[in-house]
Amino acid sequence: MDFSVPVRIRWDVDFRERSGRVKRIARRIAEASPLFVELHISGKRGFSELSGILAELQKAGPHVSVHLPLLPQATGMARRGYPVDYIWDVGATAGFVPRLPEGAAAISFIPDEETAEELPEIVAEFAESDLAELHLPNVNAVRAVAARGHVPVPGIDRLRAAAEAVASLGLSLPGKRLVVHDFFLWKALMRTFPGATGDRVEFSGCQAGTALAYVDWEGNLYPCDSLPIRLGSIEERTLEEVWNSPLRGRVADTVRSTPWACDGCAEHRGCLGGCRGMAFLASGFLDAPDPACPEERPSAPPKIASSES
Amino acid sequence: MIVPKRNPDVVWRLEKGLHAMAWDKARKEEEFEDLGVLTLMVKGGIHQLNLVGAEIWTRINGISTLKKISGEVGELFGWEEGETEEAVLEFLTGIAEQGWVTLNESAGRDPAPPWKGSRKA
Repeated sequence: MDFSVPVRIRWDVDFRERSGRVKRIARRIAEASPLFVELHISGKRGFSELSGILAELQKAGPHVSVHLPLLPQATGMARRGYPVDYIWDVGATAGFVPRLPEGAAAISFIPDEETAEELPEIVAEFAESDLAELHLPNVNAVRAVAARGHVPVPGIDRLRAAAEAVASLGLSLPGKRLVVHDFFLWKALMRTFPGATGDRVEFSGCQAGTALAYVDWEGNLYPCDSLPIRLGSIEERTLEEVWNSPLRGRVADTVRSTPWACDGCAEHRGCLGGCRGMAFLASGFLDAPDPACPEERPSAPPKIASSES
Repeated sequence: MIVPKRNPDVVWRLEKGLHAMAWDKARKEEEFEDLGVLTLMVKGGIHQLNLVGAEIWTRINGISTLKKISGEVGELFGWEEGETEEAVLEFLTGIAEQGWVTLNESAGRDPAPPWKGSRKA
């Protein structure tokens, strides 16, 4: 599948009180007519700009979800009644339910190398709450590099141990939904919560640089927040112009292809190569296998792989 | 009369550049059928329609009948009237099975009665 412009755009509006020309970025995103926009707001700068951003985005009519930290200022935002879905980033510790605003329906928790072992507690609290959705996104590599200089990708052993610990709790999630970004974590959790994780029959593989794009707080466009390959600035050019760059085309071609180690693997029909961002972060190659894949594979590529930088 | 109606849970977008490209190919009588020009998202899954599917989809409004849509699409592509209605119905039935549209039977409006009165000069 190809798209004139991305279908889903994630935008980190602010980072440590830094942001670009927010209205211009919002306008550039709206011009691209995405079907979904995920806004990630982390501080005062983002809070103060939210109404202006939403006014700009509404011109294109996408479905908007806003990820907010569990701060008093943020919970106040939710009461203003903007026509968006709120997803509350609960951080890495359980005990979040009392801090959630009234009517909260969805939370988000990122299982990374430092937080993966908190997953059982988070799921347990979610199971007991009135919440409807728990989102488990992958690590935001662009943000992680800016914040700590490295990307805390969780190893498959850690993810598997966390999933096993969740299974040992004997929880059930009737009427609830787990939205799991990582295919292999999804697969592990699916065994425990078959009704809550969806069946992924519609899963079409990694969407980085094809259906999905990520915009950082300075207006730089990337194929995905897990794939820190900068494509260009949408402050300087339109999103469509940056999207139509040869670099994005090369990323999309590689994402659509089968990773070298997955040829002949029976699991490939399900995972379709997994997360290319994680592969890139682990190996430096976009066409390498997802490091979370538990299958045995050749230790080296059969040919020289091309890297994007 | 069959009146198709879109499922409001399906979000969609015409891929403008690709739509123009497909029309360009169609006019040059080149292959255009494999080019996705309209994107639909249904329950997290992404699907695409080609040019013919897109021209049908964009005419579905809950009011236009199968006959009206077929007439317009047939004219666009220069198809025979009878064949077009059958092909459009087949397409609509397929996407109705996927839950993207519903096909409602409408009694439609009766033709206007013939004029019976006398005109005044």
